Amino acid sequence: MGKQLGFHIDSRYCSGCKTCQVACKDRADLKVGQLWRRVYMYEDGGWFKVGAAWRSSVASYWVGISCNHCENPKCVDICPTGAMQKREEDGVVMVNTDLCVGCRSCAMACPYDAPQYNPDTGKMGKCDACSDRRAEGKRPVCVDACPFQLITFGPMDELEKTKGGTPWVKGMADPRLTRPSLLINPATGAARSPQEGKGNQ
Amino acid sequence: MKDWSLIIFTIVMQGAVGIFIASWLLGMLRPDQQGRTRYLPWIGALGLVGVIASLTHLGSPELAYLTMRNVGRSWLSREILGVTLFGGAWLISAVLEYRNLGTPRVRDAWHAVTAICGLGLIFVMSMAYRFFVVPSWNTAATTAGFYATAGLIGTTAVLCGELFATRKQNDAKPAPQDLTWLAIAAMGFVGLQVLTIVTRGVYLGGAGPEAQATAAMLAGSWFPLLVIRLICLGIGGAVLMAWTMRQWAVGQKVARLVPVTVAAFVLVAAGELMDRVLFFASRVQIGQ
Repeated sequence: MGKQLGFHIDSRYCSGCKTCQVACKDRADLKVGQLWRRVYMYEDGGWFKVGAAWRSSVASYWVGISCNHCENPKCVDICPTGAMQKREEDGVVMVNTDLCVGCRSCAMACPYDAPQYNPDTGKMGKCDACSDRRAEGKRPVCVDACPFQLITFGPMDELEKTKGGTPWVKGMADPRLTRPSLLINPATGAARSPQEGKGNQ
Repeated sequence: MKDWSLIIFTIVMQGAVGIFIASWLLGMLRPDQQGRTRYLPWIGALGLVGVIASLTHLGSPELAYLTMRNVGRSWLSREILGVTLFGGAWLISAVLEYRNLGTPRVRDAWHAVTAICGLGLIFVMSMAYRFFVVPSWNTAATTAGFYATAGLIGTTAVLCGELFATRKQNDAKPAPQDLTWLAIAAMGFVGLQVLTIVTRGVYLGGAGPEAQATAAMLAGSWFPLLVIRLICLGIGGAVLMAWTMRQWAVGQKVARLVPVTVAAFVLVAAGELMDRVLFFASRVQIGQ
């Protein structure tokens, strides 16, 4: 297989403006209820007692994700027609709509809500990392749209070297389950310990 | 509730397998020709309902013929293959019985093949739901529960059918003693179902936050349905079956047993339907 491509998100500076989400929705002409890139707000922390006083550790942060083009994609395993495929040359997970029967099993198997059902076509749709744009030498539309330029798309090994990051972010599935091609520089308090997960692979 | 097609598909296919196996075993114990063909049309009708229900779940049903392309990796593909194999084997069983082809021994041997296809279908059907993203499904209790559903529906339905047939001949006749094993088997499947409920409950408590969220749903908004389901299972599969056996022992007339076994079957089938509704309604996916 060629170099695995994936996304890097610098979540530390994400303001939750959702421009990436809207740009993706606009490019793919998605109807109400479908979002191939989603920006989630997570809330964390609480109040705890220190002596006679109460202190707060309340925090919130934004995390934007699309399909993570996992190394071990469960959507590909479960698809009965073979419509969901992982591309050899770049590791991008694609859905072949000519084969898709619209059974939604991929949506049930994905821990990131990536494959989404389109009731108009009776087929599944998902982020293909803007394969058509990339074929023209352009970047994925979410990468171009981010006003803070916090999203990067490229070979995972290079992203890891140049940007760092971790797939262990609070609120997201244990990355050992599907090995997502995703790295995030987490907002303060959003990093998660690998020891927390049970890793039921 | 958007899962009705899958609820109906799984219940009726498991029921069809259960009825086939119970009636085949009965056919081996009491070789009467009518008894051998009595349930075959019902099994076919249930299978047809299941296939139609499964097609309504698809966004593009015209491409359903493609669903066996990924048998090497996908349990869902294997499930479709299982339905096809069981359906094909049932068809051959029906042709053998209706045309009276071969000796009863040869036909029974083929029915054994059909029964194995049915048992295999229930296994792959359960595996299609056992994936890690839904922790409440990813347990052996799912497989055991599906087998118990098949056993409960199969034994109670065949018991009803046999008593109906006996009453048709002579309603003053004592209930045939050679059917008591069906009531005993039904009570055994109640035991298996109770065991799966207990083991699932224990598992949900320790299998991570999503499983615990499922447990909270079952103990919260879905609790009334869970209680009704348990009452149906207990009364239909255990109390009424035990009562029937007692009446059998004192040589009760078949006419008196028919309404009780029909009530038992209806309660058991309704209970299994509720169980499947709970199965789908209380799922919580990892990461969502």
